[in-house]
Amino acid sequence: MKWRIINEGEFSEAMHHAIDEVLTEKMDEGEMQPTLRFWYRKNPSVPMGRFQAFKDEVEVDYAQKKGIEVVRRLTGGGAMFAEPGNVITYSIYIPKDQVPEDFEESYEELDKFAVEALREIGVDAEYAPLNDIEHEDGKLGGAAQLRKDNAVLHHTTMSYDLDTAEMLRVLRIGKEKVSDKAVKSAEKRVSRIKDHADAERREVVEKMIEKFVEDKKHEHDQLKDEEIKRAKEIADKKFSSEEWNKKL
Amino acid sequence: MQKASHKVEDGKMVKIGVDINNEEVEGVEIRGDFFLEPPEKLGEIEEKMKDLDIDSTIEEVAEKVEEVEAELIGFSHRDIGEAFRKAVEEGDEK
Repeated sequence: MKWRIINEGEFSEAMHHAIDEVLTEKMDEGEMQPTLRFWYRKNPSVPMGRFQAFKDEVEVDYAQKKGIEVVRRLTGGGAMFAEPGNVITYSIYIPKDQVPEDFEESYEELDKFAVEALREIGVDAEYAPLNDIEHEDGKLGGAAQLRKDNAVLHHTTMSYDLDTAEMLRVLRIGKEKVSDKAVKSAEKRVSRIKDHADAERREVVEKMIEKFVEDKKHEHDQLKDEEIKRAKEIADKKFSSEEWNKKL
Repeated sequence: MQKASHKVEDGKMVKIGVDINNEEVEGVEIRGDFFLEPPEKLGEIEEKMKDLDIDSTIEEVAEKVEEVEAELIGFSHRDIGEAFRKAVEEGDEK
């Protein structure tokens, strides 16, 4: 089994989620080799959890004013704020029989290479159940999964150099019952790779890929034209639509 | 709709809205940062919960939700029960 490594492709948030859908489907149908894909974003965005309500999570007026693209994911979990170059996101598409059935175990195992890469560049990261990657200063990132009959989609986003003040303006983090003190503590709970390591974003990604392929046969690849074409259709129909994004 | 949030021990948030009309549960919404497999089952769980009445206990809610074949990850059937009780008893009208 040869892993496919994709470390390119700058797209809108909707497109990235559509690519996730296309590649997860292909994996599920047995039409693709297992794949690791790193994301490159075009614009600031909020990927929110599949079971979250749009208006609960996002400061709608502010997000609109700033042109922040809000997309409801295929996966559960929480809302995040992402800016081009300021976060690191990757997706793993893998046959289900290669993933521990236990969710906690599977999160730990699938993010292990990234945690190890961070540790090697000097960030004391560790896995924190159920789906977080933490530093003692706060949360560095989080993962989410979707399980199909034969495939698992596992995607993880980590803060590289996120504007956490802006994040608090965009997301309604516990706004319902919140004093300034609580907002401050939410800000404090986010930790960023760049706070702990003097490495370019590109270097962090390269280190992660290096750790990932250490024990794997692999090849570097690009998205295929047919994959991008199919993803564009899905992005238009689903991940850019109010019907999907504001369903809940 | 009466809404309440219940925080699960490991940190997930379960937000429930209950539509109550003449002491009857007419609709339920479950939202939050949890995981559910398969995800399509959320609507089925919400539909099932319409069978509950406003006096249903945490246990009874949990049992009702268990009738739907789905895996709850990061929260439990009882958490839905606790959120339901909270929404019925002290939920904010929204």
